[in-house]
Amino acid sequence: MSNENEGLGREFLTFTLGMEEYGVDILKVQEIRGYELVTKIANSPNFIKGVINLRGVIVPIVDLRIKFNLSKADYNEFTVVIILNLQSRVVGIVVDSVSDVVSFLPGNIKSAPDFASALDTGYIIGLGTRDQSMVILVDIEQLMLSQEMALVDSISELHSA
Amino acid sequence: MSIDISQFYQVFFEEAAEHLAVMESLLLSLDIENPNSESLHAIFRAAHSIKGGAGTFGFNDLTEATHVMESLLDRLRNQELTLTSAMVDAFLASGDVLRAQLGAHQNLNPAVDPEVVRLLCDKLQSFSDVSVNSIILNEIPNKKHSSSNDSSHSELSSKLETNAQKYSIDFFDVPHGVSWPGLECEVGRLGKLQHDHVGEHHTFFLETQSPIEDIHECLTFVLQTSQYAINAILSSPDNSSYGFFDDELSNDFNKSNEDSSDYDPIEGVEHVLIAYAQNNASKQMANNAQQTIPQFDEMEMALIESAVEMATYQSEIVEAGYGFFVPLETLHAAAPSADSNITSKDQISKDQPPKEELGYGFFTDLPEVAAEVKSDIPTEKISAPINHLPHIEEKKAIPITSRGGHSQVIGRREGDKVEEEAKAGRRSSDKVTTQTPDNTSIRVSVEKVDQMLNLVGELVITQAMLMQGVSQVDPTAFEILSNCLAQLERNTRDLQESVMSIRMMPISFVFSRFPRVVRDVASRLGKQVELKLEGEGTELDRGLIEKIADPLTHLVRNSLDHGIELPEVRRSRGKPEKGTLTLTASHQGGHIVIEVRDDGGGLNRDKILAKALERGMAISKDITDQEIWALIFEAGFSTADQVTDVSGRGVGMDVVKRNIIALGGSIEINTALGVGTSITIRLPLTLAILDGMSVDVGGETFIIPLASVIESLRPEASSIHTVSGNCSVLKVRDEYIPVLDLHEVFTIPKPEGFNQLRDGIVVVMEANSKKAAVWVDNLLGQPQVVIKSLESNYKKVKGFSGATIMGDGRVALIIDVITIVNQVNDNKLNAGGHK
Repeated sequence: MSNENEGLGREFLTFTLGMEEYGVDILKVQEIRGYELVTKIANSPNFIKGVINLRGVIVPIVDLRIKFNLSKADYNEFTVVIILNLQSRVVGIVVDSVSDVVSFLPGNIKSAPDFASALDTGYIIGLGTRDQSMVILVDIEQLMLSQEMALVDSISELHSA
Repeated sequence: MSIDISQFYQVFFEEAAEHLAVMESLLLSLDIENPNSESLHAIFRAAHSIKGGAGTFGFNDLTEATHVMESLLDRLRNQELTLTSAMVDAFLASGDVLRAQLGAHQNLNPAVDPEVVRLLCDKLQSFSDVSVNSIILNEIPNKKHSSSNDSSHSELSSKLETNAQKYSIDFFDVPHGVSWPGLECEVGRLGKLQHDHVGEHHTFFLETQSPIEDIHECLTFVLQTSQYAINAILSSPDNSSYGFFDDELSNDFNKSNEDSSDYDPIEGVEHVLIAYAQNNASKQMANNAQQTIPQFDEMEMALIESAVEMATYQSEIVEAGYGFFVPLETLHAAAPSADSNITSKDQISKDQPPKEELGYGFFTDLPEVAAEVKSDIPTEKISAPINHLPHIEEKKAIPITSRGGHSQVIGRREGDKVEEEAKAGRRSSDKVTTQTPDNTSIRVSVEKVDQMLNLVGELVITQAMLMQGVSQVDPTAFEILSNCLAQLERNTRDLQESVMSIRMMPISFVFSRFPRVVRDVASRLGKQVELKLEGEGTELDRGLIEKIADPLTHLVRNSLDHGIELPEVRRSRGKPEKGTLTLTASHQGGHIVIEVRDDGGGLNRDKILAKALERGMAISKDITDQEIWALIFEAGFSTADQVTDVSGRGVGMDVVKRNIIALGGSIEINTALGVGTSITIRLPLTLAILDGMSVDVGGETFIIPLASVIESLRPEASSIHTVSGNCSVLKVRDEYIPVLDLHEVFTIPKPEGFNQLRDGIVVVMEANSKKAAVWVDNLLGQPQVVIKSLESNYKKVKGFSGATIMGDGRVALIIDVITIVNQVNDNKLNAGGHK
C-alpha cells in the first residue's frame, strides 16, 4: 500500500480465512484460480479436499479453513484457490478471499509470541501490521510440507501403510 | 583455436559401451577350437574403435589398456597364435576393466586401480610374447624353402615388412575440434613420430614398421580421407613416394628379369602386385576406399596384361615394366580415374607399336584375347594366370573379394600381403556398412521422448474432451464436425502408437548380459550350464527394460546357484551333466511374459514348509503348493543350506517380487521336485498408458486396469452368500469369490435405494492368482488412460496406483488391484482368526 516503502521489504500475498488475515511469500505463489470440483481421495484427512487436473498435472487441494477450524467452509463462485509452488511440488490451498500484495520491511515484522493454536508458531515468520489490522505471515513451504498437512510421504507413514 | 570436445564425451561413452557389449557377446560366442575369423576381426575392430575414440578424447588409461588388448587380438586374427580359453577370460576381464574405466570417466564409479590394469595388461602381453616366438619358428622353414629365384622378392618383402618405413603425413582443412596431441599420441603409437607445423599447416613424419593401412586406420577415426595425405619417404622427407618404385622396385624388378634366363611370368605378376600393393596404399591418401576399388580392377587388368606381354617378348620386358610404372606415376600424380588409366594404356601402345593391337584388344575384350595369347605362347606357366582371367572378370562384380583370388596365383608371402589389402578393403567396407545404421537412426535423449509422450498423452485427453463436448450437439446438424473429430481420434491414436513405439526396445538389451552372467557364475560354482534365449526380439517399454534387468539377473543367479545341480549330482539323477537355463520372452495379450526356466532340482515343498515353521510363520498343514512357493518371496526366507557369494542370504526374492509388483506386474512359480523350476514374470507393455475400465462408485469415477479384470456381471440373488454374517461371497460358476464393497472401502455414501449386491454390478478381478470381486454402481466405459503420478505432488495413496485425467478434464483414480485383492484376503484372514 501507499504507506509502505516499495521494493525494500519482502512481498506477501495476503488472504483472509474467516476474520483473520494471512500472508504468504509472493514468490511461492504460482497462480490464483476459482474453486472447481475436485476428485476426492478416499481415506484422506477431511482438510484434503482431493485432487484437480491443472493442465495435465494432478494437484492436491487443501482447505486451510477446515485445517485451522476458521470459518464455515462453503464453496461458491467466490471461493479462491491459491496454487503454490513449493520445492518442485504444486499444491493448492482454499481460502475465503485474496486481499492484496503487500510489502513488509523486516523491521515491521514482529516475532510471534508463543501461543497455543492450530497453527504451530514454528510455521509463522512473524506478525505484520497493515491498516491497523494484523497480518499473520506464514512460512507456507514449511507448513505445507510438514507432517501434519499429510501431503508428503514420510518414513513413518510408509511403514504404517 | 579449439572447441570444447567434452561435449562429445557422451557420444563416445555411449559408443564405447556399445562396442564393449558387442565385444563381450562375440567373445562369449567364440568357438575356442575353431574361432570364426570374422568374429575375431569384429572383436578387434571393437577394441580398436574404443582405442581410437579414447585417444582422441585423451583418455589415456583406456587407450593403453585397449592397445595391449588390440595387439594380442591382431596376432590372433592373423592366425599367428591359437586362441585359448585363458585368453577369452583375459579379454572378458579386460572388458570389465574398460567398462570400469569408462565409468570412472563418467564419474559413475571410483577410478580403477592402476595395479589391476597393469596386471591385466601384463597377462595379455604374456600371451602376445608367446605368439612372437611362434612366428619366428614359423618363419625359418619358410626361408629355407625359398628358391634362388625368390631371393629378390623375399629381399623386397623384407624391405617392406621389417624395415621401418618413413612416411610424411600432410593435413588439409583439419576441423578445429581435432586435438593434435590426441592425434599425435594415436599415430605415435605406430612408431617414431615427429610433428611439424607451420601456422595452420601440420605435417607428421612417421617412422614405422606398421603397414600404411594402420596409419590410415588411425587417421580415419578422426579425419576424412580427403583431409590428409600419407606419402612414403625413402630416405629424405623431400623424396616423392613414387621415387620408391622408380629407384627400388623397378630396379629390383629389372635385375631379376635380367638375371633369370627363363623368366617366370608368375614372378612378374608377383612383383607387379607388390608394387601395386604399395602404390595402392599410397593412392588411398587421395581417395577413399570405395573409389579405389573399381580402379583396382582396371589396374589389375593392366598388371596381368603387362605380365603376359613381358613373358611373350622377353626383350621388351624392361620397357613393358617401365611402361607400366609410368602410368602409375601419372595415375598417382593426376586424378586417378578410369579414364586416365585408359590414356596411359594408349601411352604404352605408342611405346610398343607392334604389340599395341594385342594389348589394347586384350584390355577391351578379355576372354577372346586370352585365348589368342594362349595359342601364341602355349607355355603352361603363362596359361596359369590367364586361366584366372575370366575368374577375375567374374569377380569384378564383387571388387573386394576379387583381390582374395590372387593369393592363388602369387607367392605365399605376397598372398598374405594382398590378403591384408583385401582385409583393409573389407575393413573400410565394414565401416561403410556400420555407418549405414547411423545414417538411418538418430540418438535422442530419453527426456525428449518422454516429453513427447506426455504431450501426446495431453493431446489424447484433449481429443477425448472434444469428443465429449461434441456428443452433446446434434450430430445431423454438425455432421462435418463429428466426422472430423472421428478422423482426429484415429489420427491421435496412431500418433500415440508411433510415439509409444519409439520407447519400445527389444528385450535382447536385457538378455544380452546373461551369457556372461551364466558363464561367470557357472564356472565359479563348477556347474555346466547352457543358456538358451528365446523371443529376444520381444519389445517392451524402455522404462521397463531398465527396471526388469536387476530382478531378472537375480532370478538367473538363483537358478544357477540353487536350481541347477552339480554335474555329479545331475549324472546320479540321470540327467545330462550340462544343465539348461532358458530365458523366454513373449507377448501374451496386453502383457509381456518373461520366463526363467531351469532343469534343476526344483523347489522342495517339505524343506520350505519346515523352514517356514522354524521361522514361526503361521501356516496350516494343508497349504497349497502355490502358497508354499510364494513363501520364498518372503523377506529373509532362504532354504539354502549355506550362504554362497552368489546367493542364499534370503534377501533378494522379496526384493524381486516387490520390484515386479511396483512395475505393475506379477510373478509366479511352477516347479517339480527333481525336474526343474520355472518362474514367470508378467509385465504390462508399458508404464505410461493403461487400458482401463471406468466404473462409477457413488458418483465418483474409478479406473480398474483392464488387464486385471476377468469379468463383470450383475449377480443373481441365488449366487450371493454370506460368511459369518457380513462377509459376502459370490458364486461364479464353480468358484466362491469374496466380494468387496467399494463404497465402504473408499468411504463413499451409497446412492439411494442401493442396498443389495444385485442393485449394482460386480467386477471380478485377479491379481497374484487370487481373485476378488468389487461391487460398483455402474460400468462407464473402457478408456485408454495416461497414467499420472499422484506422488509427484501428493503422496502414495493406499488402494490406488495412480491417477488419470478423463475426457471431461476431471481426475479419476486408478485402482490398485493388488492392494484391493489383498485387502479382501486380509479380511478373510481376520475372519478366520489367523491374524
